[in-house]
Amino acid sequence: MKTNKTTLNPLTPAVFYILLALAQGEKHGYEIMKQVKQDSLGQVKMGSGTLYGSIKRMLADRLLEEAGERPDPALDDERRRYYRLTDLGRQAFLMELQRYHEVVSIAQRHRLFPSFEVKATL
Amino acid sequence: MTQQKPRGKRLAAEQFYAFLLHLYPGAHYREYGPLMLQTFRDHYQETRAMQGRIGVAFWLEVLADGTTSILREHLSSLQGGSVMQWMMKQQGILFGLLLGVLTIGIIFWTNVLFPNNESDSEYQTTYAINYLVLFLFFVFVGFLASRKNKRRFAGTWAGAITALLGAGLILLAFFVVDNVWLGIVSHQADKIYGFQHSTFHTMRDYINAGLLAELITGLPIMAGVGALCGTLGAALRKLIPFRGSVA
Repeated sequence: MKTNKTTLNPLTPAVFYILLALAQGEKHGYEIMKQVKQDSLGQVKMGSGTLYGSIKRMLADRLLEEAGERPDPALDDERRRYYRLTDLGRQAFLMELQRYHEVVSIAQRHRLFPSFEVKATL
Repeated sequence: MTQQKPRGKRLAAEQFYAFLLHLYPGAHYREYGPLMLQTFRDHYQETRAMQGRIGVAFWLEVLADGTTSILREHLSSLQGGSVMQWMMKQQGILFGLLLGVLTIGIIFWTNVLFPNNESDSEYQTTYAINYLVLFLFFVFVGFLASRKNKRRFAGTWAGAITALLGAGLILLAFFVVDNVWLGIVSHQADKIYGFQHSTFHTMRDYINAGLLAELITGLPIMAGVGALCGTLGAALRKLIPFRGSVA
């Protein structure tokens, strides 16, 4: 598979959380918004302007693709456009997770987590 | 009746958001406008269901998100997402700024540093030449813009933007100079004559009313003249075969 190098660079928080939301299954716009808020423990609040701006760029970078239109039974009978990860999107997401994992490993190795310092002082 | 009220509020909220969506670039609005409105509707209804009402915080979030994303989408829609690259192509903005900055210096020089209190009627020929140079400048901008940018009406837009921006900056400069250095500029023969034959009680009111009139009538006229000259420049570009690389 031909990969776009720029999309595999470290991701912005908005892009990362959208990928995280869609890694759990295909979703429509409002579901993504809610999932992002939930996954980030309320730290990332994304309005529809930011959301669809990010989606537009992620579609252009081939990180996402449309997964058709259908109603959401939990809301109403209005048809909604669903999105899902592409292979490239999944790869970018996993690479970002790998980066986080490496950073956490380094921090643990150097005992940089506050919990280690607390234990040390006890 | 009690059930009508929340529905009315929801519709009003949707109408407001639909209006906000028009501020996005056209292509973005056409592709994502209906989806964004649908998402807003879902968000509105769920917030109302959970909190019982729509508070100020909800609207602050909507407005903050709207403002930043409208700006971001406009910036990214400017060719390739690079503002500087876009500005380089939009000759009008660069030349308008150049014209404005240059004229601000002249205004400050002739009105504050070395004020000349003689009547403008003494310099009619000079003013006529100045205007001619200015219009030729708009023609040149139109010519250059149509050479660098292959889009239709590139010359027209460049001429209009140059004129509008340049004239806007000039008016702003006069507003600042006339109000800050009123003691100096109020000695000008034309201002004294005009004020004496006006119904205004103070020189400041007279000057600012004149500037306002210029703003309302002068700016659109100048933009029209700039557009005409720019179009002429673009037409000249087509008539004159240009040899050379367009980088």
